[in-house]
Amino acid sequence: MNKIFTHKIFTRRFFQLLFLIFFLIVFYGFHKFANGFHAKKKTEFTVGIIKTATHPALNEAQKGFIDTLHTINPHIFFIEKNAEGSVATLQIIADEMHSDPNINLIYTIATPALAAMSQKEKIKPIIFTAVTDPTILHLNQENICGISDAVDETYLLDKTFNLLPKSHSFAILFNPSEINSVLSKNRMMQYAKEHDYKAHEYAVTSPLEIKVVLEQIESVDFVILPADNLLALAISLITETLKQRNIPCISCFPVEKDVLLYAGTDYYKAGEKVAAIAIILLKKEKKPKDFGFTKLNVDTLKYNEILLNHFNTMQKTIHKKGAL
Amino acid sequence: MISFFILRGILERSIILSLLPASMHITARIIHFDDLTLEGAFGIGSGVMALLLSHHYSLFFSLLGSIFAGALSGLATAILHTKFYLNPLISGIITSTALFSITLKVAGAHIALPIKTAFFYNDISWIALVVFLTFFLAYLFLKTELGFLLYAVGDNQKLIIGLSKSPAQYQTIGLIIANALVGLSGALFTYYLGYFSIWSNVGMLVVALASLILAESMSNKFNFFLMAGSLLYQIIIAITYSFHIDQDWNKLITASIVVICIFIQKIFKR
Repeated sequence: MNKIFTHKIFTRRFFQLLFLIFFLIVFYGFHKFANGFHAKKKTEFTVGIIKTATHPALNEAQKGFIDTLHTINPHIFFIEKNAEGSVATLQIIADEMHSDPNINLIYTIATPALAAMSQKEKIKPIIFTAVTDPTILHLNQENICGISDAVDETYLLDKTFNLLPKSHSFAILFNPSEINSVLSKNRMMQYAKEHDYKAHEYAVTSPLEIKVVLEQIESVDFVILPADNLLALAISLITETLKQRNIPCISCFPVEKDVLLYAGTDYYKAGEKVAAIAIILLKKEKKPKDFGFTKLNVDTLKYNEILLNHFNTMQKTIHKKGAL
Repeated sequence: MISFFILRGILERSIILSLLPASMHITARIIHFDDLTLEGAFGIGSGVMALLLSHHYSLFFSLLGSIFAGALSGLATAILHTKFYLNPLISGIITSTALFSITLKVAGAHIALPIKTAFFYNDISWIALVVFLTFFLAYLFLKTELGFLLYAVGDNQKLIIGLSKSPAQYQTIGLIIANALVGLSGALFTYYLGYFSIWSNVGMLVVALASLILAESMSNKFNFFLMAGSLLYQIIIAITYSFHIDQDWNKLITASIVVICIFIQKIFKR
């Protein structure tokens, strides 16, 4: 046998392990004491929030939710957890949320959080936002409802071709490691096929690749970006590069400047809408299955007039040159 | 809030992920090859598992497929190192990078496992059995002649050459075994989660390394203390996340607890 199991060494190791366990218990006691201060506050409901990662859009969804609930009822206590993108961490958080008897409702932000939580929790109501397509998770539980943020790509493309009537080809920048991005790209390719436009797809999986790929894009009338975390994070890089190259940019998520047209979810509003559902669920006036999965209406379609004029004149001159 | 459910979760994850420090022990401590293939092999293992299960193959066959995929990734790293003369670290990174694309092609970005196929759904007992059996087999294997030759490759390559054997061959065997373990771990983890995501392997290198270091504060040999290390790490993570404080501090808390744990062990050893 291994030497480690000889009596003396084994006893020493055993006591070391025991000490460590003792230390952990003391530590845990301390931590319970530290957390006890929160529990003393007068709370009516406790809401657990699981965020998949730190990200502007997801932060907005969280902020909108908390702000709205706080104005409706200031006695709601929030337990906010952030997995920072790690799937293993999401499991830990889901375990905690499930086993905490004080939590009345769980709010999941983005698909991985919903996937992890729905595996663990079958009774407490779960609501979600920032999930493009909940059907890919094969959810068949009655305790889940929420708002998905799917953007109607065909509508957006229709509008774009109306605004830039001379265009006939476009490039799609997408992220193959995000299922929502891929599905969105597929719908755009389908649209191009149906309407006889030329569509080129460009895949990016990390911020480093974006610049390289953008420099590759050639002979297209505009670039369209599906709703995707990676693209949203690198948006200023994308718009800046495309501006230098004089190619219009269309996006399926809200962007502050330098895009010709965008449609997309205002995540703060999405958070507000979910909060309205949450307060009904907390008061137990309705059940989650009464709400089901609803889609957020795409009413925020906005375009930049100056850029539009610029690109329209540009297209006209190109067209004339071509005619001559 | 310690509850049965949280403890069970900690135990489940630590059992499944204990194959990672085991793999890292084989590569970094036995054959002395700093292998970074781990993250890629974990991804391809889980991807193959998700693909095969979603095509309604049997659980056993899916697990074998994942182990095979993991072993292949180890082989790729070994070939890069022994035939193309790349630095161990570089060959691991290259394989991991390449495996991202392959995993993406194999399984896509996201697969929800069909629950009906998974007969023992979320039942940890057979997973634990598989892991314990694998551990035991690896333990026995390292006691065989081949196992001792693996130790020799790491410690004294001249001995291997003196026995008129090729060190490269034994490095390859070590890498294949280590990454097959990782592939199995990835497969079990995907099965445990119930869904596959291309990002589920992110951070696994850190999990492996931290668990190994914690295990080494208890024992330097290949034995079940590797599992204890993994358990300790999962406990630390769970404690970190049970703090009701600003979530931005989490990684700092994890880091400090790991430091404290190792420090306590060092004091004891004196």
